[in-house]
Amino acid sequence: MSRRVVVTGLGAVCGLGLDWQTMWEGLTAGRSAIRAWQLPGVADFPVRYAAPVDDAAFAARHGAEADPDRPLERRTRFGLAAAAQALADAGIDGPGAVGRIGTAVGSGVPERDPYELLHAIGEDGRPSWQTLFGRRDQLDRASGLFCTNDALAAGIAARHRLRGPALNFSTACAGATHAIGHGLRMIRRGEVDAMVVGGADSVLNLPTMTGLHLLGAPSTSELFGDRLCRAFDRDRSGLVAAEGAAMVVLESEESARRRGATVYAELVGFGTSLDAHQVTAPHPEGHGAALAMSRALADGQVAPDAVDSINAHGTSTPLNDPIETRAIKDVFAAGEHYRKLAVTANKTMLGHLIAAAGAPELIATVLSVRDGIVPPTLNLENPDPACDLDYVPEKARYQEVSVAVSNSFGFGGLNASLVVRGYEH
Amino acid sequence: MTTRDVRLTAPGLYTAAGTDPGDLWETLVAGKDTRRPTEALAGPWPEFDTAFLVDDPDAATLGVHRRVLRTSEKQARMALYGARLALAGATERGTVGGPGWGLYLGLPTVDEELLRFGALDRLHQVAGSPGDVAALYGREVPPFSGLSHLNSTAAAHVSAVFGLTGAMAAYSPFSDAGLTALIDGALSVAEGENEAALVGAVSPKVHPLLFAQYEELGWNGAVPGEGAAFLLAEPADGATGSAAASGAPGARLAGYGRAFGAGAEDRSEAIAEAVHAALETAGTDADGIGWVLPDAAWTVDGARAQSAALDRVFAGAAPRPAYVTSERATGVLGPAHPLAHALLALHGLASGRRLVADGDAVREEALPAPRALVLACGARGQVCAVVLEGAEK
Repeated sequence: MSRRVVVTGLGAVCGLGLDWQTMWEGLTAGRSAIRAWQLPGVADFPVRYAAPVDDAAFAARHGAEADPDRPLERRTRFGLAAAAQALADAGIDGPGAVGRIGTAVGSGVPERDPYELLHAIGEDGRPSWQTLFGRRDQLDRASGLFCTNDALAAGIAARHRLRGPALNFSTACAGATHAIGHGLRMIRRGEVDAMVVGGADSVLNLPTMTGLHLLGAPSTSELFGDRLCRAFDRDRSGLVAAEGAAMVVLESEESARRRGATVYAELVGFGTSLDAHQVTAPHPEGHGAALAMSRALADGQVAPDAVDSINAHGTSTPLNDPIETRAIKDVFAAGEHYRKLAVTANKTMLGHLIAAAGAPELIATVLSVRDGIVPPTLNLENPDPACDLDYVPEKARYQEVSVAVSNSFGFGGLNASLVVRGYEH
Repeated sequence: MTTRDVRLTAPGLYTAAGTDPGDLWETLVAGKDTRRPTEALAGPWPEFDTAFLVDDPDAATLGVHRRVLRTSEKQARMALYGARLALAGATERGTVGGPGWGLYLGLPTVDEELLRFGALDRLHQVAGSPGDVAALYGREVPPFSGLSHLNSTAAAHVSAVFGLTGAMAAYSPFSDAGLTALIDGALSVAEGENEAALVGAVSPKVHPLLFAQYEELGWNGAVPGEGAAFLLAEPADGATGSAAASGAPGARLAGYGRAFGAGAEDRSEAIAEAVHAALETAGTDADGIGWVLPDAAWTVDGARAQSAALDRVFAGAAPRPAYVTSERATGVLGPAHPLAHALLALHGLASGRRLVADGDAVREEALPAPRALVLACGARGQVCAVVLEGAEK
């Protein structure tokens, strides 16, 4: 069995908006969610910019969907809200609306309370595990220790009474893209009729941000203010972390047609690869990135010269951007098709949602195909000579986008790409 | 999309019972106690001070440069060792690596302290001073913790050491992640996405923080273990240089099923649904299963749901298949548990034998039908089931 798979529902919670419509409006208007920021309860942390979700606005808008009565991590709350939004957008209001529905999400490092181990310090002033055991009821139930990585996928399935598989992917910054791609495959095979897929993440806590900072991943520059995320620019200096979630409903074409669902686009291809290089840096020639794109195109039976646009991983890190450029040039070398591609880096506006990053970017790719608009790459004022593609600088471009690719490349060389095509029955 | 028959072979197993499925088999039959004391657990809670531990593989054992140890922790190193054991034969034949070789892993999260106990005094002192807390973390947190605490770094290490650049995925954090890796890895070969897929899973390292997590999830007191279980999924037609071509024993993934059920009743139904789907895709029924390897259920609800589901599925089977888990020799291995069971099943299918739980003992006997059912039940209602079939069919 090999069925066509279409996108019938969208949901997003991020710094740029608490629904997909606001996010898309912001992306096409060239608005950025990146702002001056400090970790809660901490001063002088060297990373000074991020793209956080506005807590008060989120609680007001999505409090009910985010399960306020249970201790949950931020990422799980964002993900539950995005999933509820996507299912409502798809017109799926219960388990009977579509045959068998599964869930797949990408998640990253659990959120940890930076002070949790202080409970281990006994009355004698010495820490011990036995003291911590004795006080285990005082540990924060909303931390990642208790709200394990599978909590979101299982939470979505339980809340919406979905009986299909509930999978959680751990492939770093490619997690959501893996989840979406596997959803495509499972529907194609007939294992399920629909999937709620995407990702959620929040790294805006002291333990995780410290780990990222010590690796040199986030920018600590203060030169550009909120224009800090500068993908493909010569002055880029690192990623800008974000938090949030995005979910899409994938559905077999026959199911969507049977119930008269709105189809945003068709998801046609998925490809993955490993760099087999170093855990600390991508392959210098972009072999892994190129393999993921090539495999996604082959999977979708799409010729490279049919592609109009690429939603790049585009992290604004010194290594990723020229390497991704090189990989794109390799894959689209025939006839120098890479010169015709409109390449966009959404992270210049959304920030980097880490494990969830591929999900809002897939939504942007889907809407790009539907609406014929390529969002801009912001802050691209002085292109790096090693980054010499058309990155749609500063302003969105209205153009026909028949086929688009979305890239996600995770730490350690875990790569994934998706191919989206305009839907034609 | 092609649909090739897939053979599972090249077992690589690292548990408290040894480094071979045959060792585990013998340990279970002999009733040997493989637990070791652990200082971290010495105290009033949890109510045991031994666990099924394995040695942390060093750089020489892993065949890697010492710098790999800085960006990994014990779980990633156990995974690397399991991968090395599984790939030993293919490495000797010089066939490992390249774009046709994929990787599918089931991984726990890394649950350990980021600040060592030695730094807690200082954290306690500066806790009320926001500026000093960030500085303390910057000084005291290990420089590569951003990688070592990221569970998917295990995939990056395995890929880099063995040169695997094929299609991949990694799942977490509980036992369903391991069996999902097996299902999707085998499908990647069946559908022609990979020429071969290294499939593996690793347990969490036994760490005091885990017990607080387990308790929250309804832990029944089962003793945890450490280890890794790996195998190769290859086309059954035996591509040149493959383990299948070398005549190594193996089995085929004949069928699979996946489902979800959150509440107690739903969970039991979901397990039955997944098993029925696995039987159906395998083209068999309850009578065709000679051996069942249920998950090592570590919650009371999970055990009850699994037991009820299996009773329902096999109610009419004659004879009822034998059940066994490796728990008494390996402990509960998290994502690696169902893969350790898959390796035991491969061993049994190759020799026409099975293990049967008999009170406190385990005995072996002839396998009445050449198929084994392996189950994985995640902590929150995730279910996977696979049917493995002797390759001779």
